[in-house]
Amino acid sequence: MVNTIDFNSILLSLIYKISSLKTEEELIKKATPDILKKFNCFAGVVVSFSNNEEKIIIPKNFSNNPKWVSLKEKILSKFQQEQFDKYEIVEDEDNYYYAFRLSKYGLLILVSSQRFEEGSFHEMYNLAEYFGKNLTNAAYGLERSEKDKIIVQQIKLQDLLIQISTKYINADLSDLNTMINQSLKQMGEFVEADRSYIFSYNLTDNTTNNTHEWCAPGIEPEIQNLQNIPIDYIPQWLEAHKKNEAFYIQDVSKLPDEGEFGLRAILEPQGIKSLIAIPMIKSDELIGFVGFDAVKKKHEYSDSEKNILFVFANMLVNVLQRKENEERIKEQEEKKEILLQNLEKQNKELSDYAHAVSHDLKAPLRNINALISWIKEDNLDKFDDQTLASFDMMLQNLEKMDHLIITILDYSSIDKIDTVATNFNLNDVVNDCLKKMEIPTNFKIIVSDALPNVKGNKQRMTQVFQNLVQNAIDYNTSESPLIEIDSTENEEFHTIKIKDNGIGIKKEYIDKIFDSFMKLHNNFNSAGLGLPIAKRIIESKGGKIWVESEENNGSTFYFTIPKN
Amino acid sequence: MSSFYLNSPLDLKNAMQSIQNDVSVQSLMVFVTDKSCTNVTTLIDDLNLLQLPFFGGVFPEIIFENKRQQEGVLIITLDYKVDNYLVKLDDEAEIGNQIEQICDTIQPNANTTWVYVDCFSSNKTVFIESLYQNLGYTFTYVGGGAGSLSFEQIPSVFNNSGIYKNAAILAFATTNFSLGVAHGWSSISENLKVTKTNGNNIISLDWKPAVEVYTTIVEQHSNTKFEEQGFFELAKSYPLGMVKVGGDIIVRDPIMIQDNKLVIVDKVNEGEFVQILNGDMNSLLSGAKNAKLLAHGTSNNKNVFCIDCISRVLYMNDDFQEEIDIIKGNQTLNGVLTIGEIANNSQTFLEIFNKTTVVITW
Repeated sequence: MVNTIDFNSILLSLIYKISSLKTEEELIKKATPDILKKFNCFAGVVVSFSNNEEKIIIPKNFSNNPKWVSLKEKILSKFQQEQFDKYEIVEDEDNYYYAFRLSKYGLLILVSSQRFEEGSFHEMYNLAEYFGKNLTNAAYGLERSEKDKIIVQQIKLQDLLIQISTKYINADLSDLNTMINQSLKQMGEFVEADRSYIFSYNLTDNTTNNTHEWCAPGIEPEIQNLQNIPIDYIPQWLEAHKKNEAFYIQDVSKLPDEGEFGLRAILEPQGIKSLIAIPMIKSDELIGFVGFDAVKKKHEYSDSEKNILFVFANMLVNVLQRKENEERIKEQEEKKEILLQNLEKQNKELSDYAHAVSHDLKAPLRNINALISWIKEDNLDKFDDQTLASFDMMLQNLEKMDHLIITILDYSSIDKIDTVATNFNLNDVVNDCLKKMEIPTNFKIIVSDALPNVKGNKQRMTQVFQNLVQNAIDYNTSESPLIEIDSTENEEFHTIKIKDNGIGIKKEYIDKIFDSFMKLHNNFNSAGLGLPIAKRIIESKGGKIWVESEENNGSTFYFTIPKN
Repeated sequence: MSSFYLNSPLDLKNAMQSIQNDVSVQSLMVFVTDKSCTNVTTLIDDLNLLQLPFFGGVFPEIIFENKRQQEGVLIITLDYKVDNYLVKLDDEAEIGNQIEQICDTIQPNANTTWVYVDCFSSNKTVFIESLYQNLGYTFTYVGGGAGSLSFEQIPSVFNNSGIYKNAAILAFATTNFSLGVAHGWSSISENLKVTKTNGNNIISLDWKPAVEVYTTIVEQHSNTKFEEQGFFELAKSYPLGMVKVGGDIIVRDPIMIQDNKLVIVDKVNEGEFVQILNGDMNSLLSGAKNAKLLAHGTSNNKNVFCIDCISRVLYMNDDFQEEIDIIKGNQTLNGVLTIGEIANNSQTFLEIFNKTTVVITW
């Protein structure tokens, strides 16, 4: 059997269904099957008292059920003789027949093979009573009773909340204030308030501020006058709100007269006859309240109405929270964008600077080189051997500096100069590259003959291979040095592998070898930019480069080239 | 009853020869898998050569001799006469009239009906209610939702006269079925009020966005994020359930999020209360065991057939074989994997189930 909460939920869902239907026919045809489903019954009948007519029999062939035919008369006569008031249970060897009075309309008979729990009959009778009243009103066009009106009012209020919450869920929050003001208007008009508003609490400086307000026509706005109000003026409000309770005054005129600063003295000059203020609580923190003032006439709030207003307050908190989160994300994104722009600018400036400096250094350096060469040639017979050796060292250093400048220029130009991408085959690139390089005769280089076709800058790709192969040659002391070039692919990338059996790289340097000017060995001819240039070329085309290596056990460089 | 699995024209030819040679065969049930449904019209033309009444549908998968099959066609021969009828579901107002007319023509002693309905028909609930209202409590109903797992509506039910979209097939017989229905899911949440719906989409629960409410509860319970696992991967373990008095929870299957709405295979009405359910292999297999016990009971029925929900298969993956092994017992199991299950022995109002196992013996 279901627990009480589930049972009540079932009743509520049926009340919702009944209240959403308008005509007698709709009520009978659409609500009855739902009642049967929810109570696990296989048959149901609605009988009208007006002529003992069966308004519906579900399923149709149940009308021919001989047991029902005999029981029907028995049950109806019991009701007619007023032998029972609210419900009656009749049973035969197979089934239970539950008959409930449908108010003044008639009877609802549910047939099930199971016996309902004793405690559920009263609640089911209440449901039947509600169903019956709706049927009576629909059938005879009667005014709904006051109680029904309240229920209808609550359902309408629920619908309004759904409407507002849907708007809050789907709306763009850029104009949140307008949206909140609109919902204050909708809720205000619904509860027949003349003013609805939101206040925020500032519990640090003990003040409260009116942030949003809606006023009915003819009611003066108060928002301007209600800024930075000391909370001390309204201690009763705060006390209730801290306990997550509504602050509700049904009739202001009945408040005790507590002098100039009393509550009555604050509310009466604003023309307020009754008010309700619901706390807005965000994660246990009281952040404000939403209130409704009745100015023209008093308004009495039922508990259910209050509950629904609490839901509205929660919705306001949620939407404000959402706005706050969105703004925070937006702010972070803006900061990130500025940071990226600055970084990009700084990188460009640095690159331009390196380019300019290298370029400007080149000409004087070549002049110095020429001058030193001339001085040396003109004085070959005058300088002694030591001086000539010093001149040779000067020229060597100048060459080194020239190489360094050319490399830096190249490094700083990778992003600037790029020709139009062309399709080419990497075997061609590797072959060209190897032809141009001075490869010691003892080196064996095995190149897969199935390297892929790629698209990009062929010259740059040649440079990548040159730098990687040169490294593999320079740092190899093996008696049988070997370099292998191969490739693999997946859906997105070609991965190129250059493997050597050289001296390898110490673990602690593996992460650093792609850093500019990083030289692990004192190679006079190296500028320390070979791998950074390779990295920059590969990454500028959306690829990645990395190395796997172990000291004394060779290195394998990998880089990827995107297929698109 | 005998069964044939077709995966080639030769299979069809052989099956048709066997059927023709078996004088006991009076009708055929035909289940075509979604992956093999391109030539149903030709299949219908071929089967018509047998001059036997047949009916069936297109389904995500089938079970042939204890193994699930994602491709191919399953033919079940029936040694009793089945009169089948088409109900078009395009016009809500006409559904009741069509069923009423059918009721006037069916054989008076018919007590069972196979029901296959286009699972993406918007009038499915009206059809089911109307069917029960007109046919009544003396019938046993068995069947399920036909259609494709692509969630696109396709022509999905057929009989001798052709294949139809947005329609249902009713096939009446005079055989006594024994039924077992169970699922094995149980609640992990409080009741949530369905505050806004649009067709099969739940927009809000407890006045909050339904997607937010659902994902929060599921992520908390599973300790997994939807964005890590993908919606369906996680949601297939967390269906929704509707409680009723004195009956098992009715399961509803969330299949995707669309425009920030929770899309459910079968409708959940506004104003309903739902719970979020969860289960594991043990509970689901125990559900299957229960369904088997209920179906077999004390009877010695020799034929067993199963209508199982495809989303149970998607949840269990290869372990679904365990469910088949449980249901089959010592017998050979054939069946169909549907999108929504129908089973009722007139103890309750007829409803569509999701994520449920139905075992039928006769």
